Amino acid sequence: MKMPRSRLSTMGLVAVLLMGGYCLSSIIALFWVTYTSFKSNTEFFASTWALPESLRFENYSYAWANAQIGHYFFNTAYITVLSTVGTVTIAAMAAYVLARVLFPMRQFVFYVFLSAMMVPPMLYLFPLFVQMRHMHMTNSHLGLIILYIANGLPFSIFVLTGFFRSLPTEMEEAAFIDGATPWQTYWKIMLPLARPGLITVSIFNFIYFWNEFFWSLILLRTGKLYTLARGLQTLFWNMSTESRWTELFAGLVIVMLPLIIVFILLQDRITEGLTVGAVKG
Amino acid sequence: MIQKQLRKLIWPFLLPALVLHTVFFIVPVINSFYYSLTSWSGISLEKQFVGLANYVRAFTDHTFIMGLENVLLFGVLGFVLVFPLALLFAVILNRKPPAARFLKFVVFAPTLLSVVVTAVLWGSIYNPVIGLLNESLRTLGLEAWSRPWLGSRHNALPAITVAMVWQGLGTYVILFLAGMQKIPVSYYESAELDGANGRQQFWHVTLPLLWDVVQILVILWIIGAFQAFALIFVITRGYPNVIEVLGTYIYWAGFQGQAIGYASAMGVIMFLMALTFSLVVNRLMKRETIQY
Amino acid sequence: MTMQRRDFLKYLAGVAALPGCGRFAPDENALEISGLQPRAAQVAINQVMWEAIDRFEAAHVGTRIVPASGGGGGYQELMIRVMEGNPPDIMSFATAETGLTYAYVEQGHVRDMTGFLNAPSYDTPGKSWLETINPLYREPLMYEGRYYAMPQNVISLQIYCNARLYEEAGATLNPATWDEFLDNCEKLKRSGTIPITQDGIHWYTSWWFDHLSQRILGADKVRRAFRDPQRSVPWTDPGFLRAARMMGELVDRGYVVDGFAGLNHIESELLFWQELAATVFVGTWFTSFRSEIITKDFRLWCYRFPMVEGGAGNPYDLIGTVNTRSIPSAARHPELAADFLRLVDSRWFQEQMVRRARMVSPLSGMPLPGVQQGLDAILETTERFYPFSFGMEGAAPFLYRQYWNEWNQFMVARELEAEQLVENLERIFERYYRHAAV
Repeated sequence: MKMPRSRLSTMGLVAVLLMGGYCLSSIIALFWVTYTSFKSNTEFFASTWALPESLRFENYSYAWANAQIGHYFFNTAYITVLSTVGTVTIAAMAAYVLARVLFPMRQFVFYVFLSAMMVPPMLYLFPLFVQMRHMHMTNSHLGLIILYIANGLPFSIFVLTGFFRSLPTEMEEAAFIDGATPWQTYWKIMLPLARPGLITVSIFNFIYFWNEFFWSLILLRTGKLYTLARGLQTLFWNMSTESRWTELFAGLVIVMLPLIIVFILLQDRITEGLTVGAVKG
Repeated sequence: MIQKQLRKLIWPFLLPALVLHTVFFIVPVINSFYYSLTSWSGISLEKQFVGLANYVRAFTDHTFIMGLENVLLFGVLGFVLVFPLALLFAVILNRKPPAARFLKFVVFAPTLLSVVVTAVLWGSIYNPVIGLLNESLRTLGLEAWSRPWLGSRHNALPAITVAMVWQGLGTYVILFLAGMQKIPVSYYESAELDGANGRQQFWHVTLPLLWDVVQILVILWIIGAFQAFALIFVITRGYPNVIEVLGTYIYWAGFQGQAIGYASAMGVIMFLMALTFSLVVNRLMKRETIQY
Repeated sequence: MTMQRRDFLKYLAGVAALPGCGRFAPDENALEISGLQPRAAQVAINQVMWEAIDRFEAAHVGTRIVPASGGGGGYQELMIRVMEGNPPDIMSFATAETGLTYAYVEQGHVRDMTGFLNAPSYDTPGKSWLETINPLYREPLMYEGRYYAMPQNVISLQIYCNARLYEEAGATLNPATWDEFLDNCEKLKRSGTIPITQDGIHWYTSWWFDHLSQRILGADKVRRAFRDPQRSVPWTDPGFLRAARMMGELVDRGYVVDGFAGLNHIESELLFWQELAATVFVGTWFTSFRSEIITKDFRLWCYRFPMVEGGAGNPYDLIGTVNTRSIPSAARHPELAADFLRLVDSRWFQEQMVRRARMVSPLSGMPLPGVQQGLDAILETTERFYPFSFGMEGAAPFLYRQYWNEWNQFMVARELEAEQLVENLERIFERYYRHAAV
């Protein structure tokens, strides 16, 4: 399935240079941020480019403890896990029904879910906010998680419906003949079969929730509750005013690292999952 | 028979999703239309009905117009950068170059980062005094090229577009790549037999077969451009500025300008515009899907 | 690698219990103050604040004071809590800063403090709280004749300079007229220094215009241009045109630092402290936050904004703002909150603030920070004090934004001519007030 190799034309050379340039600048930028995070602020102001004289780990402990990144890390971790599990569970159930059960208005319901992907959150930001206020769900992790799940549903349902549709119908028939209840059919047969799709959707959602910023900006007001993204934004706004750039960069590295490491370890899994999901979707 | 059995599942399986979707999406959307017809400030108790006054106000509001212009500029500029680059990179990757895994990693990694990370990273790079870009230009003797990247609209538009492209490119590359890998090699072989070179193969084989994917991604890009908020909000520290976009202005209007009714109206306008744009573009891009 | 369903559910249940911890419910018995940084924040003003809190808690046994929100987006959080009917006990905003003050008062969200002010002051025997406040700074605390905000410190705008660089260039340290000021700039430029450093991103550039207009036309006319719906003084008045032209000239002659369009106030001030630029037009706050950077032998001097030849304005008018704190109507502990604010206005607190945070006090008879040489002369001869842009930023935020857009296009991007600027401004204001009147 790969293209035959052909000679390198001038356009090919330009292409390679572009790609090389792009990759190189990414790497340089990230490298700069990383080694700057080990400098002291005076060093940094003296010279932007210079390498650090010594590794100032105090920047990291400052970011982790004083600036509370550690705390945000913990918040983000469990919020993401819960939201992902919630989204995938609920979406899988809905997707199964939408894919396999014939009932009137099936397409309509599907599109109702889908339409949310086209709608910018800015449109319903204020009414939703007021509503959550009435439900006492602002400034709480529970409210955030529930909102996240609601947010993650459209895309997850979209992908999973596609997945379920692609599975052979004989499965249900066979299960039915064997005397299984619909619930058992779903749990024991269909779900395991849909595992690739579930993994794809889980990965998508995990990344999305881990990085999510908008709703945590709107809903979370107390520092103690912040997620990493929200916390980093606060840091950026506060620390550059105080000229604590190197501590800010240390925080930045801490925030960047988890997903990058996960990606390094699971790169193949992730890209495979995403492309499979994308192709099916 | 099975269907009868399966129907038992409809309510229990659909209900959680439906309830969540209704409460947290459908109801607020409907309410937003309602709010847009009031002059509610957000801190008073009554909402006063004003009909379409908010909509009229938006189109005479210089800041709104500026926000709209900026959205369009970002959208177009970004599109012009992202799509060709993504296609190009996908083509390169499709040919299994050396260190393909590493290249894929570098290209895709930025999409895994939060928007805030991108904003902080690029905000620092563009800092006029201690930022990487200006420092590099100075070191390389290109002092004349160093400038306040986030200062005027003139500079900030391309600068922030670069940041947007940097972040968004990976997804598009991966998706194009996935689409390209579905194309059987035999197509290219027969094209080569017909005397087509690399470039012609791309235009006449790859691109047409990718058209579906391209279509969807263009729509995705349009919607994303209209919604642009977080990157600009974080980089500009939430202050009023020359690269205001619709998203940041709406946010400001609701939470600081104390005009939730007006902000909702602007949100509705934004949504309708995005919708219209998408439909128009979709119609323009329509082609028969090629089966293979 | 398969996990039993039961085990998985158990794990999930355990983790699911965590959100229960993720709730923030304000402590019913604590006094909440918004805009308060955590104790660890090293800024001097914050340190003084926490010492005041300790003192207050010691005097009122059983009371606790806590910061109301965790930083970042302060005014948004404030608004949200007020909307919820669950505001902190003390909220803070500078009267001319964001679009919140007037609307809040008009909606009845802010407690009228006039009664509290007539009670005895904290530590000045024989005087009521109100009497200890310098009459110059009382107007920004009021709305329609009643007091809604208690002052913490005063901010005034004046031109700061590096005395050494000025002397070396042969510039005068007290330019009385605009021409003398321009002359200074020319001399500084010739001596190789950047004459003026400037923040181009925020609203700071508009202060030049505020001041020039006032010096040319007089405060009353400027106020009417900003606030009068009847447009008795339009922006197209030749005085404003002249002020705009003078501003443009400042940039065109190269007196303002190159690339100021991209500088925020921190960066532009950095150039000043690094002695690369000789003049900066800011407010009294600017030494408070940067105390570590100011080198011992830095000779800071400030002078009032020069007058304009033939101008109708009073050069002894001072423009600035007062940082204040107010008590929301729905606050849970209003008397305690008022007591705390009384402490903030005590001689003890104010002396700490002046000495350690180097801020200007709103009380009468307080010493000056000392690090800002020249400030005494300015404050002692001030006849009137009023907020920048006459509080329009707070009274009409949308109008102010459009004003800011035009101004930015003119001065920073230099994309507009002066005539166009004033015409645009008048059109915008006229349309806004016409619409608002409907």
